[in-house]
Amino acid sequence: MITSACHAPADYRHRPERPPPESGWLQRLSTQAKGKLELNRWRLRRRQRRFLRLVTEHSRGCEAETEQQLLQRVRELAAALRQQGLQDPLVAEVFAIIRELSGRTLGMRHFDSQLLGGWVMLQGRVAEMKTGEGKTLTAALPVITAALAGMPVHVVTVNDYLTQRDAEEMAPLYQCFGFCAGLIIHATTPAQRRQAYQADIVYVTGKELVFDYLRDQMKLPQVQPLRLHVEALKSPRFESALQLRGLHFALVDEADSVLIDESRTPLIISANRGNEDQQQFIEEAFELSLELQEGLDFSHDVQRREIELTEQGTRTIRELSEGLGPLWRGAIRREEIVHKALLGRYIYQRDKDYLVRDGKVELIDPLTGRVMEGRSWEKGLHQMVELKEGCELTRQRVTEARISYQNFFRRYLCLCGMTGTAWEVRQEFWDTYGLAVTRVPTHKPERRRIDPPRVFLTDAERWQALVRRCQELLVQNRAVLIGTGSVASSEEASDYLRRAGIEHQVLNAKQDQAEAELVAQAGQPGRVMVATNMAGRGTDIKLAPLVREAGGLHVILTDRYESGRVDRQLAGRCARQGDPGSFEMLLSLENAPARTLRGKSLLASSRSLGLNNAAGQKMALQALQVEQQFVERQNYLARQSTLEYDLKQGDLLAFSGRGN
Amino acid sequence: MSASLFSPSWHRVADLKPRLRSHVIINRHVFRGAVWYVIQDDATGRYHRFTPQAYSLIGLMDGRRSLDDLWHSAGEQLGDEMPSQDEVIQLLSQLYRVDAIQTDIIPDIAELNKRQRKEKQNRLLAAVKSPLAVKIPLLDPEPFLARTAGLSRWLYNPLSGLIWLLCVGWALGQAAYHWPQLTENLADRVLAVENLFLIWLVYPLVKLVHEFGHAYAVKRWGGEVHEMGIMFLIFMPIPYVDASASAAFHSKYQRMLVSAAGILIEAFIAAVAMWVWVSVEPGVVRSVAFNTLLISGVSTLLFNGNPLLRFDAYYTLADFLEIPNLASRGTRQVAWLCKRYMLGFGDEATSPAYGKGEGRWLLIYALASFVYRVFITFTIVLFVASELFFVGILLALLALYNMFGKPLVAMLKFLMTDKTVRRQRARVAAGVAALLVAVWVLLFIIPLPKMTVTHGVVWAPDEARIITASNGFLQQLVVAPGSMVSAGETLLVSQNETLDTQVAKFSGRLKELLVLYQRAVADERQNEAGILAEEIAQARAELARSLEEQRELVVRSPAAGRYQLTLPVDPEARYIPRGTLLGYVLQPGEYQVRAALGQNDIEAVRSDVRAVTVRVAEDFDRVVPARLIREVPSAQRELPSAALAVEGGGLFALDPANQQAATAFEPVFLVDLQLTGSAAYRVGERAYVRFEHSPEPVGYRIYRSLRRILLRELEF
Repeated sequence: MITSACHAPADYRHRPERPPPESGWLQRLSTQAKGKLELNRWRLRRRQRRFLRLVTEHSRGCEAETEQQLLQRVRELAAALRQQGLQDPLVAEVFAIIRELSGRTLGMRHFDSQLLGGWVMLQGRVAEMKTGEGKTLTAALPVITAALAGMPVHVVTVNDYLTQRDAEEMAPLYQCFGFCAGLIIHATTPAQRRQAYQADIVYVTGKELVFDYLRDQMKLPQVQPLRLHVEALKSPRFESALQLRGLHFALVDEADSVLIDESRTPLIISANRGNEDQQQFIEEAFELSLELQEGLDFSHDVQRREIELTEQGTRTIRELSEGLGPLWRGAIRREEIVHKALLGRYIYQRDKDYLVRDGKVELIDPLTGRVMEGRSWEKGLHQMVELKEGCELTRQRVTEARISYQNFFRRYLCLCGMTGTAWEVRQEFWDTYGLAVTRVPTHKPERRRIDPPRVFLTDAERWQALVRRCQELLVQNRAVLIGTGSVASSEEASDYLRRAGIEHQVLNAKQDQAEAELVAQAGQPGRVMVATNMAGRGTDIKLAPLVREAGGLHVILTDRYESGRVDRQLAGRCARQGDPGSFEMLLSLENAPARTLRGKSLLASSRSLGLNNAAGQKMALQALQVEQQFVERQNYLARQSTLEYDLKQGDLLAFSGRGN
Repeated sequence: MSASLFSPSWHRVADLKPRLRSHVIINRHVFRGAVWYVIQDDATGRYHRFTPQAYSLIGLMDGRRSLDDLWHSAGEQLGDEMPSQDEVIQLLSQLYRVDAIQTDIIPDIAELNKRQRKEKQNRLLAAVKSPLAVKIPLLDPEPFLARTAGLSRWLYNPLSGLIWLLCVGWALGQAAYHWPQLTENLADRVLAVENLFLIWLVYPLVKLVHEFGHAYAVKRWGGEVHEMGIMFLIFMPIPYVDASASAAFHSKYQRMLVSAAGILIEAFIAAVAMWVWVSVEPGVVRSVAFNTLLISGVSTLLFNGNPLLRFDAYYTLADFLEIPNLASRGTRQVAWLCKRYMLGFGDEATSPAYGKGEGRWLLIYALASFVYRVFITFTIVLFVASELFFVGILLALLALYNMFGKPLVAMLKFLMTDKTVRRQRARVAAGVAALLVAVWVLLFIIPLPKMTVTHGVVWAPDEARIITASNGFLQQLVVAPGSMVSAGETLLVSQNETLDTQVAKFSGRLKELLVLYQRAVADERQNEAGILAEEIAQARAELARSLEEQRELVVRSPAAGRYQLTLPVDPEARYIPRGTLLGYVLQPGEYQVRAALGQNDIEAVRSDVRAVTVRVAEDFDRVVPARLIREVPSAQRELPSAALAVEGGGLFALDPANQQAATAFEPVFLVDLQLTGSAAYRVGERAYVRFEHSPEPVGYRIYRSLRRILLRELEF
């Protein structure tokens, strides 16, 4: 329950945010016990029903009233909200009015399921709503209510396109209530950002928000509110350089993407700070690394993506580096830099981890498969990769600020979210963010058909099967969306399709500008689209009438992603809002890594059984699933260690007197 | 790569300009040949030890240079030994937490406040966690000590050392001389009610003097003592002082003297008490002296003098070995060894030992003190639990948790969460599994020989005993003891002149009666003759008895066998009353042993005996096989021989209430064993009996004895 006590005057000096939670064992125990209760499926069921009844009652009265009357009522309600907090009777009335006005301005009235979703979010929880349930519209309910209660609201989305689209779509409704909505995407200038953050409601991409926060933190000479007031009195200028007004209320769209998947790596602001000596040091290290022999001087673990120097290796480095500059003197320093050189040469691979575009090395987000602009590796690794690719050497970058997603979003006074896939990670949501997950029933029953998955021995067989399947479907006038695991396999799939004479589009990291429009058109008959995971996520694929009749969009998954959730997200591209659609998996065992004992044995026995029978198919599928679970687990551990590191450093660095 | 030079958090500290706070003093010490820097913080009274590498960084902190700057110049100085950024952060954090540095950043009051609150909580929590040792600081003795500091020079100088040596030496001599008087019936005397009262009076005084001993020793070399209070050790109030200022002393002998001062002072008090005890007549003064002697002599040696407990001797030992924090680092050393050799971590973990010999010392100390602490904890827990049941059980659980549970939880947590473990999961799992299996096999699979050892005495059956039937003076040993005799052979001859006289008297009387009888018959005095006839029969019987008794003066062998005399040496002409056991005539192979068994052992002996062997005290090297022939079916408290009692060198405590007979305090079971072989033994001799049972793994035995202890001590 969000009460008005959370709400504090939103200005640049006060900057309210939640203090880090106590980490005593008693606290942990109570959190766990509370989690058991909060994550119960039946939690809040009765209150939900009662709430829906209330909204329906209020709705009846609303229909007859004019817009002016409704807005007058809203103003009175806003005052009540500020006094009494987000009490159910008040919220129900507000929701009823929003529904009514939304119907009048946008032409879209909220369904009951959306009302429930909005209410769940107002309770500070994550609402799990199936894809295509109209999350954008749902979000308007809690956003407007929170804004009425006086809180600056941040609506956090996964990418710039969705941010912009949602903001524009909802703007008329907000305007109707007298709120201005700000929009912040990558291209927004600092001055525009400042203005946007002053708006009652801000639509912002997750990364931009965190970076703005970090930049603010860097500008702040102090973090305590009182000191900040003193600073503001001393020099009024610093205040005008700040962007955010504290962390009050955030609604996170695609919460699992933002809060879970992307939280594996912390966000870092860095600056060029290398000098000539260091550049030379890096070049020398790269050359020196060429002299080392695999197996003798270092060991290379392909599966774990690790390289370790042996004793012999450290000796070789010492001998080779004699007579080089002063930076070579320290053993840790020289071994570290050579290690980086080896990492760059052996572990990081072109087109998988990075691209080379216009003579520059650009990183690929392993999750989305997109280019991460302006990102670079740290501590000379980037330079090593540049040397390997023969690019021009950039300056070394030095970290200036750093925060993990977990640590950032935990600071919000009120945090809530919505997504299609959250139930699997509900425990993690609770443990990390204190967010409970509630499933919201769908408005219309789902009509997605799931075809039995097929596994092939080699990639070639899989692609051929894919081509055959596309040809079949195209004859039926259906549209096909093919999900691939990486840019390289997108290319491969495209190759096969071209040779078969199938017209298609490829969406991947290399051409991400017009992506959303293309995805939106994926519902046209005879359209075949190849995309890495998450391409055009959140975009509604409108089905052409012909396609709808033929059975809707068909989604083919060609590689299992790093979690079952992401697979489900891809499946969610079809059969939205009661449309027909189908989903199938065409997988291959070629290059399928098996890093667990169970996976290995399953893989071996499925190979020996052959894939032409049901048992072999079943085992192969299981092997791939085991592998996926292993990756999920690894990622989970990585996230935990990111957070743990942040917390530990926070304790350790108490003396530095500043955050991040 | 385990160590990285750079830290992802460096940006948060790179621009800080730290400097040591002005009141912090740095001392250079040498521990085991290596240079260390001890940072002394007078405001908090704490001491921290740093390596020269750390010092080279700390030394540069002047408040003008940024940390980044410091790190780079330290790197140039140290070359290969340059600290990584993480190490620098760690160091700074450590210094900050002990308030030894300040930076150009205004400190966060809220954070400081939180830290202080947390520290307070920790202290409270520590008291709750170990309620058997609670410290309550009371006052600052420094002003008083400063005013009387002159005393410390008088106390600690070579001359007083010499005097101390003389006094304590003399007292030791006296103690040896008066040992029997000092120790006679000690338990009764000490635990008597009025004595307990005296102990309660004397104890705090002695301990107070003890603590002032420490305090003045610190003052002797210019240290300051700022904390004094009361510690409740097993609910017993004991004063304490905080003598940690000695950590700043350069010479390890000075530090050792500070730690040992308490014991030294108490030894001196004991010497004085000895003098009083020796020279004063029995009375209250002497009792007080005795108790003082007891407290300052015995208790000091048992507690303070034991380096395995964290009292004075521990600190003395740690200073002597030049290994500060011996105990905690010992534990870490054990953990490290486990990680390295059991889990196969290799170089990932670093040993807490710096020098070469240090590792060995740490290991030895950790093992010894653990074993000892387990022992002492169990003893205390059982004692407390038997006195106060519920509190005792709670305390016991807490103590057991602290001893075993907490390390176990920590271990499990480490195994579950540590990153290195995660990386080498298979190796770690194998190591842990191997250890568990090894322990399990050792405890529950491998049967180990099991035996019961007890004492008995060589015993003779009744029919082999020679018992005198009449009183008499031994006149002649006809057969030499130890030789073989046949049945009926004359063994000894005694003489009893009274008996001879009696025979003569009875025969005279008989003769007289016969004459009287004949006359009465002749005179036809019918009545008189009847009376006389009865008297004659009576006199005849008396004569016959006397004659029988006279005949019994010649003792004959009851059977064939070896003849043994149990009489003392030179028995001739000695009066031997009737019924005296003179000796035995036993065939080889008829010797028996009567052994006594406690209640705990009888079950095993009754149900499962594979072999019995006996060693007799006289001929200890010879192992004689024996056979179990008889068991007295009920428990009894009378011991067959005083030799089986503790007082007689045996195993069974005597019942103090019964001074006459050899009655055991707890019931015993008696068993008879037949010795095989043809050797001869001395009856009544002590025999060590060993019952061999079927081999059994140790685990079950431990379980049984634990069960038994719990049942007996706690009825639980």
